[in-house]
Amino acid sequence: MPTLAQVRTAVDTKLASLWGNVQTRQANYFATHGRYWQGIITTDVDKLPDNLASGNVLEMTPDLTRRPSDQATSWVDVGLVSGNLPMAIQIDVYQAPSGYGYIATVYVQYRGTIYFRSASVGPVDGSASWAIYNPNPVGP
Amino acid sequence: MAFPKEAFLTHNWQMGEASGTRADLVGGMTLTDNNTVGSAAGLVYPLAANLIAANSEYLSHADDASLRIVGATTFEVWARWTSGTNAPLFCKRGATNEYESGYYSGYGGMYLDVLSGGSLSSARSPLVPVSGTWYHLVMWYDPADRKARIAVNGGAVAAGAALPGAPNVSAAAFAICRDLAAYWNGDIGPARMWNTLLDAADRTALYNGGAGLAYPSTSTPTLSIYGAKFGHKQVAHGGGMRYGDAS
Repeated sequence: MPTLAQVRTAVDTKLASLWGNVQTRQANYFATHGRYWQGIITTDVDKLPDNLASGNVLEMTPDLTRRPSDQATSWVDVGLVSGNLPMAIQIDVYQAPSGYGYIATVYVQYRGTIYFRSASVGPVDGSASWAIYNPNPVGP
Repeated sequence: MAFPKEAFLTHNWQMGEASGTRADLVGGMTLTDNNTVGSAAGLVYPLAANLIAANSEYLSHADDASLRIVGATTFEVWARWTSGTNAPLFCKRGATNEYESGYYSGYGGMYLDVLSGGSLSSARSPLVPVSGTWYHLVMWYDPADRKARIAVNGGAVAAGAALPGAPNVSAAAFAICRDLAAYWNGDIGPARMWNTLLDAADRTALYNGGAGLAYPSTSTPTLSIYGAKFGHKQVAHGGGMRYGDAS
């Protein structure tokens, strides 16, 4: 069984390998469209494979055809991701009073608990270190 | 009609913009537009923010002291669900959970949760939202008894349990219609906050028979000059005075 640290490391490594490409392509997209490109989550959080079995960190097949209804291009069109991933990823874009930016968030499941972390570019600091994801109301 | 507790109104997001950031006409806390929030026909104002969950759309603002529950605090929201799935109307939560409102089937209806440490005051209305219908939610935290409360459409008040201490505060961002990866589907606006409690008469005035109340509200005092009466109307949004208009 992979440890939680091993799962996080696998995701961190993958995100780091994607991050430079994300920034380059986002800069190009912004220059053309006047806003950043949005990526809908590649695997729904309630469908993440659970890293509880023996062996390596689990990978999943991302749905790269997803796109928001007000954007013409999907993950496939921008070519940011290919092949299987050890996590789900989404890229949110924003327009703040201080300017435009984007936030990439990754999700992974380990022994029934979903964890997430974020990295961001722009005037709003949307970066977040690893934390537990709880989709229910704040109460029990 | 005077606007309820106007002196204590801290935030007023009209949500009347077609797109982009949403201005706070009272507190200056302009909301960031995340993932291109659009607009739809509103109830109180011509436009309301239209949020599409499938597009991960939401509005947000970085933490600010005025967005925390540090004393008597009241929230007012007009909301029209597109679908009645579990989703947050607004929340302030991160590593520390502060408060959250929305609809949750596990609660049986609409709610306001306020936390102190790990203890919860959960005010729950039994109303399950019907798609396409506007709802008026007034929710508040009363430091006198440390309870969260909710009243929908000017109706009965539901209270949560008493908290053991003051509500949590943290640097978590304030978000409208998003809680982590859960998003809300529908139209919202206006949304307001007061740093005081509203009474039943205030809630009735805001509900206004289902029509809502714009801010600034309209008033029609009359002037009597030489025996003749001239009405004037203060136009909403600081539009000035129009004399001779008693409508």
